[in-house]
Amino acid sequence: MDIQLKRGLLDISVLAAIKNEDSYGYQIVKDMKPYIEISESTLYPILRRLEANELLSVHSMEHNGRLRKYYHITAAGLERIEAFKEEWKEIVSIYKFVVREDEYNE
Amino acid sequence: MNKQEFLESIRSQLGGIPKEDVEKSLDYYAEMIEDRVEDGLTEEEAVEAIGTPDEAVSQILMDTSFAKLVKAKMKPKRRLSVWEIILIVLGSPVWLPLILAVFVIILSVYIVLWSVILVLYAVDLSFAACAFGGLVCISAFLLNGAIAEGIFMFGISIACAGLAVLMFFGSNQVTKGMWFVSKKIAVGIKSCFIRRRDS
Repeated sequence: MDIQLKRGLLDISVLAAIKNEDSYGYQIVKDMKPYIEISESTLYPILRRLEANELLSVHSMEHNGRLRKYYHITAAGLERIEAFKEEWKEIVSIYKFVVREDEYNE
Repeated sequence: MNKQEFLESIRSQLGGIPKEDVEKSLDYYAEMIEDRVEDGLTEEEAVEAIGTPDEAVSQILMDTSFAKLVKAKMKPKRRLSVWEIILIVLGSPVWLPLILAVFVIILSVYIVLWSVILVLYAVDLSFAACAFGGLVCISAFLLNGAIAEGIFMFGISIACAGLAVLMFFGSNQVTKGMWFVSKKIAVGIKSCFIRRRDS
């Protein structure tokens, strides 16, 4: 897949992974795995970028005697997901157009 | 490789990067390993699942700002001996102008590129000014009874206004393109630095 496209999709997927409840790094990777391949090393800069853009916030909570970082989606993050859904409709319509050309040629 | 070795390997390759950034990164990887161990993996398996330290390092570097990377590169890995300091000082007439020249060349490329944009907008503005100036002329012509000249001037004014509008959109497109190119150049320069660090 195109790198730029995948990068954008990963950002959205990470936001979606914490949309319903706060989550932590390993859980995010596990939740995403069935849908989109992501490694811990890839996730880390994404989390930092999303935090810098204030699409999510980070807070530490104690877990089994150590601190674990939890990621919480912000209002701007939720908006970003909604914006993505709208954008995707456009992409789907473009896809339909591309596929229609294929069928025409067959 | 156990957790400690994995984290130490990352730390040793991030020499020069600000301490708190490094600690933040290490905390993240430590947490990832511990969560996997809690999930039933052994420490070695957990480390293996996360990937190699080199992968982690290159991701962290790619994410580090250009200014920090340059700083990290400039910072010596160990204390310099007296002789080395003397050599660096004595050599400054050679390396200082060279470094300056490189930066000035990069800077001038940027200035030249953005001057093009500036010129486009300047021309655009002058077209708009011509359109307004034309209107003033028309009234002067008409007041003196020169109808034909007045109409001629009116035509020129409208043409200028049209050109100004069209050129504004054109200039905007060029600016966008230039912005894209500038970003590409910045990323290119940055990746040069990272690749050199890896080798």
